[in-house]
Amino acid sequence: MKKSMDPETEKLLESVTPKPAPAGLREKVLAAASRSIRQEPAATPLLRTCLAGCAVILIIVSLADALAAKHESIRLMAVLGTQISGPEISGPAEEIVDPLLDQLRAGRLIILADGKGERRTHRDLREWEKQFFLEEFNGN
Amino acid sequence: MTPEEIYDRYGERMYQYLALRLGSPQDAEDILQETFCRLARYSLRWRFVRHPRAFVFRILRNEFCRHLRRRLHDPKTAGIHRDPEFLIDPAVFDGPDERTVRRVSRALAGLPKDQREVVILKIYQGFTFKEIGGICGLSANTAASRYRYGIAKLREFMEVEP
Repeated sequence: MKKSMDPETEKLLESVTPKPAPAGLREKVLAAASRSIRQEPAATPLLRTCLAGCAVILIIVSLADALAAKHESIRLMAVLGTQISGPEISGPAEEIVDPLLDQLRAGRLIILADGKGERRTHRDLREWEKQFFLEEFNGN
Repeated sequence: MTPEEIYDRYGERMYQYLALRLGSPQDAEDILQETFCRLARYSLRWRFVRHPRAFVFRILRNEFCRHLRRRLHDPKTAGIHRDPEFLIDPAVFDGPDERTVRRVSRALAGLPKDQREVVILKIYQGFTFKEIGGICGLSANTAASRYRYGIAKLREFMEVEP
């Protein structure tokens, strides 16, 4: 038990007590509190935390997506040995093949064709590629 | 803890604290109501609150300070008196006789605000100095020294005006 600093003065102060709360204050205060919850449900800290969490997750996903795309393009460039550019082939290829796949494949075929020092038509190159993959598949 | 539980545990003492600080039962009711609205909106996780009573009183004190700021900047009340805490109405006290009540209320009103607050929290709310420090944003030692100076001044006042 702690020793009081001035027992006489403290005793005098304690001899008077604050008056109790008026009757009906409890109901009034609690009614106001429940009204406040109904009026401002969006202002709860929990909701704010959830929103902040969602924002952080969105930022992380966007960053991860950008990084993955960057890595993929680097890998593709390493495989193809050059930067992917628009198709240089002429003929009916653009009409037949889906533009994106065509662009990728065309880039690869141009490299293969350039390696041989000659220009081939798209059909020739496809034939050549089919043969190449068959050989690869069969292990020849 | 629901607002009902908070009120049942601390509501009475919260009201008394406000009535003593403000000397006005009407303002005390308003601030108490505002505090409970704030507590209800916060939807706190009470299991993480180590000292719920001190925590509730800290929120109450913040609301009280907001009220004082509003009142000081309100053009309707600003001209009347700059410090709304300067009086303690004897009507907020119950005592053995009217003379004692008047003496105590006048003595408390004569204290500087920071000392009066510590004395009220210690004598009428039964907080420890550590808890008072937490409520008022002070160290426990500062709270203790304010209490000591406050009690000394009250003793002087009682000796001068018996």
